[in-house]
Amino acid sequence: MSSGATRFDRTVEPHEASGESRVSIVIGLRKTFLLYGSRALLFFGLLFIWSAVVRLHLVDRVFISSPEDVGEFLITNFWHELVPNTLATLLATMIAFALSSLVGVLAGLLLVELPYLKWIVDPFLTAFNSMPRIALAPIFILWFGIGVPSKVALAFSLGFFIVLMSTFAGIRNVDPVLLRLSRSLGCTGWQQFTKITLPWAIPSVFAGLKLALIYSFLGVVTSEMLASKVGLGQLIMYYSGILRMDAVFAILFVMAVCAVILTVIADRIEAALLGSWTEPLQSARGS
Amino acid sequence: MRSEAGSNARGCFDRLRRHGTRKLEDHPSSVTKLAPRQVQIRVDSVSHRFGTGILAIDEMKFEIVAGEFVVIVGPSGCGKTTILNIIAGLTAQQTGAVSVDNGPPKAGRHDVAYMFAQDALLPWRQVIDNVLFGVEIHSGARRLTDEIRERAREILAMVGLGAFENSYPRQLSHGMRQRVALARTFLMPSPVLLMDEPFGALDAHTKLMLEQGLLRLWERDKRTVLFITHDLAEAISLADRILVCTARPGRIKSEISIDLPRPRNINALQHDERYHEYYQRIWGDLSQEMVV
Repeated sequence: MSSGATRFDRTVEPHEASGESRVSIVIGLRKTFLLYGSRALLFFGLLFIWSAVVRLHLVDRVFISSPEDVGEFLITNFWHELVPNTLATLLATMIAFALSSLVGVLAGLLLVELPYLKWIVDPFLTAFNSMPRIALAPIFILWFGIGVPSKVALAFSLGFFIVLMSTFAGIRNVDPVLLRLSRSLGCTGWQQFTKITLPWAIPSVFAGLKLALIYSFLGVVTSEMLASKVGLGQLIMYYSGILRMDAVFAILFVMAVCAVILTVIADRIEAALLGSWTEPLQSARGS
Repeated sequence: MRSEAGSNARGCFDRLRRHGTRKLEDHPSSVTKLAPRQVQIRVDSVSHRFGTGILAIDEMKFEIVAGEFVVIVGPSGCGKTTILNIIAGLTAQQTGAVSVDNGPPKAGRHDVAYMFAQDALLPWRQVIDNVLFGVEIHSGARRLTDEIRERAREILAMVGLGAFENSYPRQLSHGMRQRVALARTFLMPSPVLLMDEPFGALDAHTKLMLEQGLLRLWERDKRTVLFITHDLAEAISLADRILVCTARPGRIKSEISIDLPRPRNINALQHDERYHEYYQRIWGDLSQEMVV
């Protein structure tokens, strides 16, 4: 049944060798199945070992809880506790990410356009960027209070530099032969920027944005752990303070899921925008 | 800067002399902006010293007339790329006089197209859009007409890449990418083509195919070509006239007209006796410049 449907779909496009591609689709499906199957096996295998360790009293439940307790916490506290705190954390993450992206890209462009400015501020940028940003958290909390602004400030201080550096590097790394081409064709400055420099820099900028997204999340959670009213970071500090390991593991699980979802969304957007020209080579064609 | 009057006078003189010594073509078959036999590229007493103090070119002098296919051949380091860059306006001229179509060399002139040793394709553009890139920049138009797109397809087919117009450069082999660059260069209507070892990095077989492709494109409208190479076989296959360059500092050592009939078939040339005669004669010249 399903193979018939597949064949029909394929024959709609006559230029494709339908027999060959059907085989490759079947192989692809089998691979996907195998991949997700192995991942599920690994996940439940680890849960099983964890559960066994607790049941055999190899390690005290107080320290590592158990998968059953964590699951129960996840379900009972999902709507009134986990969801609102996750949303608070994600909201701050998105604000910080948006700010880092916008300001980071603009600052990157500015530094490329004004090399003198870059010379002047370079050591300051390096100093600021290599400073452990978490040390700034107390200052931000003092300045902005324990609401959204202080979380955003810490996350921004991480994300901004990542985007700035990757934008700068992307633009500076334009293939010199393309710049020669631009010169020999007589590109105007604007043509060179929009048709050569910018497209060239986009993959690098995107790599920076993806990193900045994860770092914004990290910055927000860190800030929440130090002082905050709502958020996953604050929640994890509270529950570890009262030795509720089931809650701590449940929150860690939620964080991991958030991070994975953010990464997947970023990857999808990147793939949709950059498409086939950055994709790894699928089939080499001889001349 | 040389005076305009002087240069014009000398141009007229050259034309007269050429008309006197060579058989004049009856009628220019293609409608070009320039009369045949008119000097299109003139290089006179050009020397060039690199920043390091090394003299790369020493008093180089030659002329190229409209519609002529001239190849400069010489050992590596003889400054042949430098002289091409000076003519293209990519490298600042230091001494002497250089003129292209009676104007000073300047980067970005629309009447001069430059092809590099590297393909210089934009990786984010499909083949067809890479071919259109030069015209797109020159026209400044946001959208190109269907007519020009059709011509791009035609040229792509001529270099044997008709089926690849929607591929991305990274999906193509080295030789195919250079063919795309060739198509991009020829799609621009520039009457002067400067080519800097465009096939230098290709394997021997691919090179022959591309040379044939170049000749096929060139035969259509016979533009003025200045082609740089270190490959003597390539030079003889392509050229109307070969300029042999000395080792550094570069100077024009000798000049040989290649009277092989056109249109040429690169493969058939390998069996042509005259081809081998030329090869041996020029090789003798060239080998003196190569210090082993």
